[in-house]
Amino acid sequence: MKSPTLVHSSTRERVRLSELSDRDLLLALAAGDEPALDELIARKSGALLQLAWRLVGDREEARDIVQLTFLRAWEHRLRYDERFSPNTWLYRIATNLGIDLLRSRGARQRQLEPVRSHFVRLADSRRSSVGELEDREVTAILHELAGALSERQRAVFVLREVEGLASAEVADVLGCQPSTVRNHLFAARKILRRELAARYPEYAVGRGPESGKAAP
Amino acid sequence: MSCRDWRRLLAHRFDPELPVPREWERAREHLAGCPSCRREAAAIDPTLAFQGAAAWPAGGEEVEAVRLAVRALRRTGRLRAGGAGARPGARRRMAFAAFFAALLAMLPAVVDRHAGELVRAAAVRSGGGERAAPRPAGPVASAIDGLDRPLARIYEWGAEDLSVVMVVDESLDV
Repeated sequence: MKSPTLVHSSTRERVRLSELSDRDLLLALAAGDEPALDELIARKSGALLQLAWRLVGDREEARDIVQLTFLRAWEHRLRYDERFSPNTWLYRIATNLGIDLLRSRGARQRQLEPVRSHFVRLADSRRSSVGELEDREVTAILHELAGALSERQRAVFVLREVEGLASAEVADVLGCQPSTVRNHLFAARKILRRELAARYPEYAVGRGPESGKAAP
Repeated sequence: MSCRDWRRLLAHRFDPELPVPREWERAREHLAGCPSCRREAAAIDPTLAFQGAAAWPAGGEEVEAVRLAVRALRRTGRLRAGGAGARPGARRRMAFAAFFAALLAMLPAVVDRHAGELVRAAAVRSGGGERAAPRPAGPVASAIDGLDRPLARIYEWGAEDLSVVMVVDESLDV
């Protein structure tokens, strides 16, 4: 008697997908391979959740952004351009969604700021600089101060300074020139220094290179 | 990179015209791993402290929740970030679908009244019987599963290029 033939095995399928590179995974996605989407979610959710949270400062909204990012990746899978790295493509979708959300948030966010300030001020005032605060306190202050930035300044600052992407990568994600990234970054730092001095003078002891201490 | 080296690079943070040197990437790594330098750097430029903003340690449960949510969104529709509306034109398509569903719901009554004019109704009784009728031939019959069931009604309405076909099991008594 002829032995049965294995037509499909989910386990083998998962192993096969887990061995693909990110780029090949997106190509499999473009070919309509639905399990490839699950593998992509497993690989990239953590980084995207972190990016979205740092961008919008709210975990629920960050979850929404990440879900929609994967949904769009699936819907627009045929538009994936192999010239971009998979991370850049996904970051681009997530960042654009985050910018849209920040724009729609508008006045509602500004109303919440005094409330946030109250909680952030619970941070230990004995510490003399923001560099001595705990990470969660630094993050809370960043989320509060970032309200003073435009959406694109905020995206540039988070991608470049917090996530540590190179300027060229940030330019790819935002679809602009590296010089534009530099200008946004410079403006964002300036605004954040000013806002920190205004709201948290106890931590804003920045002296800049002109003090002589950090001159090149 | 030593604790002293990164200081000379700080000027780049205060001048937008200066290109960001490649060494700055190594300076970032040094600051991330050296608490005393990080404190000093934050004293010179407080925004440097934000490089160490807390990470969100999204675990397996979080990832699984994303996977399930994406699957549900793909099946049931979609949301936009911020709760804004669905994709352009979706409401119009949904209204059309609702109208079409209502039309289908009303169809049996229409069939009973205008059976001879618009609709061909055939009772399929594979075992033979009082209203035995031939199975409809052609692609409609072959494309519908379950037509061999003993009692079913098939309604077809429309022209050759566009037609509505409804199969009703007589046990539903509609």
